[in-house]
Amino acid sequence: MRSPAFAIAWEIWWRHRAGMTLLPCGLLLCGFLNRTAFRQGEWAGFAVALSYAVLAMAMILTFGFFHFTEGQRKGGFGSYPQRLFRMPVPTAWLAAWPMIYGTAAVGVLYLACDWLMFVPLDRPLPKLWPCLYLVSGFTLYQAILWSFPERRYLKLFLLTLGAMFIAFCWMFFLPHMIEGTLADWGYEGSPKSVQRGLLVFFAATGPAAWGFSWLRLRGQRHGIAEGVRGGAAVIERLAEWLPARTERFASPDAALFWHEWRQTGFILPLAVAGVLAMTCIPSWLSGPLTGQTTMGLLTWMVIAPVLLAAIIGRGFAKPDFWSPQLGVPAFIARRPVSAGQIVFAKLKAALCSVSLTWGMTGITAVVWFAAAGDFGGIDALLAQGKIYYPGGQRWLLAGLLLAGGMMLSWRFLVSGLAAGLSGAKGWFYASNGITAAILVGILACFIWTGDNDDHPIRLYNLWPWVEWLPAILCGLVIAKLATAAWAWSRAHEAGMVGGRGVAGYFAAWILAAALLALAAGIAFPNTPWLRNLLWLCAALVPPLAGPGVALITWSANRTGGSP
Amino acid sequence: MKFPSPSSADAVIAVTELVRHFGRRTALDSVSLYVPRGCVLGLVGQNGAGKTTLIKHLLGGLRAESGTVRVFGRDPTVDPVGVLGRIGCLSEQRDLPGWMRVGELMRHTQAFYPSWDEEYAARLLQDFQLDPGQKIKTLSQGQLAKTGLLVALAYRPELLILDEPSSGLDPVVRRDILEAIIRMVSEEGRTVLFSSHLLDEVERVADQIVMLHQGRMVLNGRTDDVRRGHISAVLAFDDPLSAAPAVPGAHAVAGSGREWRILFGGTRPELEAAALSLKACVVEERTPSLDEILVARAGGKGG
Repeated sequence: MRSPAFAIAWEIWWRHRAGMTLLPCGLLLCGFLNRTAFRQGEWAGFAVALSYAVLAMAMILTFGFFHFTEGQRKGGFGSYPQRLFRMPVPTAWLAAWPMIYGTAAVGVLYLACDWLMFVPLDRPLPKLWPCLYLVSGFTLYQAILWSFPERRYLKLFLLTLGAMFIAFCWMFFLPHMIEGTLADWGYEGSPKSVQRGLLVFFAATGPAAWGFSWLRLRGQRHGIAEGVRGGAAVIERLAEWLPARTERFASPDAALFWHEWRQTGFILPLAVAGVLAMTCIPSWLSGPLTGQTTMGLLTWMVIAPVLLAAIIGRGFAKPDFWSPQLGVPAFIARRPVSAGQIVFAKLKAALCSVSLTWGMTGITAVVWFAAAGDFGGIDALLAQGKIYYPGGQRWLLAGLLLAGGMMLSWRFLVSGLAAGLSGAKGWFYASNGITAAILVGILACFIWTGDNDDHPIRLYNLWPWVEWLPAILCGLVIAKLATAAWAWSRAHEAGMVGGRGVAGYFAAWILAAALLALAAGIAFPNTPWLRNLLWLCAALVPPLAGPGVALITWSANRTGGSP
Repeated sequence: MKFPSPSSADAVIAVTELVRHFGRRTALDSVSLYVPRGCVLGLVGQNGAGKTTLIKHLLGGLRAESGTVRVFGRDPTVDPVGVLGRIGCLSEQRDLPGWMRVGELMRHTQAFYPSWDEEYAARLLQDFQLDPGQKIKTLSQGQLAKTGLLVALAYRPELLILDEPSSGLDPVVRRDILEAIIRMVSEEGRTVLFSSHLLDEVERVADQIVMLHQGRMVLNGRTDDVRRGHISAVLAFDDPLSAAPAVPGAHAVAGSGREWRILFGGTRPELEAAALSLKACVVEERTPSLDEILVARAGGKGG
C-alpha cells in the first residue's frame, strides 16, 4: 500500500467489492432501459417512478458500503475499526479519509443516477441542494456511528432523530410545501432566503461532523472517552432501559423466547416509531392538512410496519441479527434444545414484535389524526363503506383487515427464516435480492400511482396476465402444501419438533388462512373471480412451508453442514 | 498401560476413525479416542493441530465426514438435546452475549438444565467475586472466563469440556479456574476433557494425555506413562559429528560436535541399545517434561 489513504480506500473496496461492482452495473442497465425502451410512451411515467425507487435503494446501499465500522466480534458493525488506532496515522486523517470517500461516493452516485436515469426521461433532478443534503446526511451518519462505539440503541435513536431533522428540512425545498408552511408560521420574507440559510447550514454540517468525529475518535484512541457521559449517558440509559430479569424462567422455551425478544423484538417497533415520528411531527408542524393528504399519510402509517417488516425480516432471519455471520452462535448451538424450540421462539418473538408495533401504530395514528388530521377523507371513506357493507360487516371487515396487516407484517418478518438460518450465504443473499427487487417494484408502483392521476396502464391492460393468475396461484398453493408436508414430516421424524408442535402450527395456519379468506369473502361478495383469487392468496400469506424448512436448515447449520 | 478399547461399554466419549477436511486441508485424520467415565483427559497440540475441530465434533457442531462420534453412546448431531444436556462447556472464544447481565445469564442457563444447583452456583459466584448485576460486555477477560466456567459447572455436568480455558488469562485467574476444576473433579469424579497449550496445567490435572499433530493422533496414554515412556538423554560420540546422527527411536536430536541431546521414545535398555548401535554412550539422562515431549513430537528441536 502506498499510503494510509490508499489502504483505507482499498479496505472499503475489498470488503464490499461484489456490491460495488454490481451497483454500477444495475444503474447502467436502468440507464440503458430508460434511454431505449422507456424513453417515450406509456411506460415513461412508470420508469420515472422506478428510477426514484432505484435511486433510493442505491443510496441505501452506498451508505451501507461506506459506514466504515466494525464490531468487536468478527465482521460485526459497532465502532470505528479500533485496530487502525495502532497505525502511525493522525486521528484527524483517520476520520477524514472514510468521510471523504463516502461523501464523494454519495455525491457521484446522485449525479450519475441523474445523468443515467432521469435526464433520458427529460426529468433532470435538481443538483445543488440534494447533493448538499446527502453529503451532510452522510457525514452525520458516520459521525453518529463512530462516536458511540457499540451503543446500538443510542445510535438508532440519534440516527432516527437525524433522519427526522433532514426530512423536515427537505420540505423547505419543495415549492408547494414551503410557501404554505412559511405563511402559516407568519413568516413574510422570501422562501429563497430560508433555502439559502439552510444550504449554508448544511454546508457547515460536513466539517462540523468531521470535527466531532475527530474529537470522539481521539478520545477513543487515547482512552479519554470511555463510556458515554452527560446528556448522552442519560439518552443511552433511556434507550437501553429494560428491566433486568430477576425471576427464574418457567421452561427452556421461555428462556429462548426471552433471549430472542431481547435481541430482536424491539427492532421493528423502534424502526416504525422512528418512521411515525418522521411522518407525524413534520406534518403536524407544517399546519392544517387536506383530507387527501391526511388519507395519504394514514395509508403510509399502515404500510410502514409491513414495509419495514420486510426489510428488518432480512436480519431477523439470521441466527444473530446484529452479526453478519450466518453460523449459529455457539451460545445457542450448545444449548440442549431442538430446532423446533429455536424456530418457535423466533416465530413467537416476531409475533410479539408485530403486535407491539401495530398497537403503537394504532394509538399514534389516532392521536395524530385527532390533533392534525382532516376528517374529510375519512368521512368519505366511511360513507362509501356504509353503501357497500351493512353495520356489523363493516366493522368485522375493518378488524379482519387490521389482522391481515398484522399477519402480513409477521409473514415478512419470518419469511426469510429458511434461508437465513441455513448459514448458506448464496441462498441468503439471493433471497434478499429477490425481496429487494419486489420492494423496489412496489415502491415504484406507489410513487407512480401517486404522481399520475390518469394512469396510462389500467387493469384491463394487464388482463392477459390476470387470466393466468388462478393457475399460477393454484400451482403456488400446491407447491407450498407439498413442501410443507415434506419439511414438517422430515423434521418430526428427525426429532426436531414434536407432534403437538406440528399439529399446533398447522391449526394456527388454518385459522389464519380462514380469517383472511373470510375477509376476502366479506369484501368482495359479488365479484367471484376476485374473491376466489384472494382466497388462494389467503392460503399463501400465512407461512407454512418456510418454518418447516427452517427447522431442517437450522439443524444443518448447527452441525456445520448443508441441508 | 491399559486403555479403554472400542468395546468399552462405559466410555463417555468414543470417537472412531474420525476424518474431517476443510477444503484441501485435513483437519482430522483417522482419529480414534475413548474416554472412560471419571477420566480427566488433556488434549494437547500446536495451533491448528485439530483440537478445537475434535471438540466441535463432540459438541455436535460438526458432523463426521467419516468415522463415528459417540458421547454417552449417542451421536451428538442426531440427538443434540440428549447429549448437550449432560455436557458443560467453556471455550476459548467466550461466546457469551454482551448485553446480558451475569445474573441473567445464570437464570437463562438454569432454564435448560434441570440439575442446576443454586447453592453451588451462589458459592461459585462468591468464590469468583462476580457481580450478578454487571453486564457481560463490561467484564474483564478473567471475569468473562470465570463467568463462563460458573455457568458450565453450576449444573454439575457429567462431562466437562474445556477448550483452552485459560487462554489469555493472568496467572491468578488461571489458578482460580484450575482449582475450581480440580475441586469438581476430586469431589465428584466427573469426566473432563481439557484442551490447553499450557502443559504444566495439563500435567497437573490430567490422568490421560492425547496429543494431536497436523490432524493425527501422535500420542495417547496416561500422563505418567507418557513421561516415563520418554527419555531426555545426552549421547557422547568418540569423534565430532558434522551432522545430526540418525538415532532410531529418537523424536528430536540437537547439538554439535561430540555431544548430542536426544528425546528418545522408549525404555532405558532400548536407549542403550540405540546408543551402542551408533558407537556412542549415554552420558546424561532424565525424565523429560511434557513441554519437551510436545515440542519434540511436533517436529521441533527439543530434547
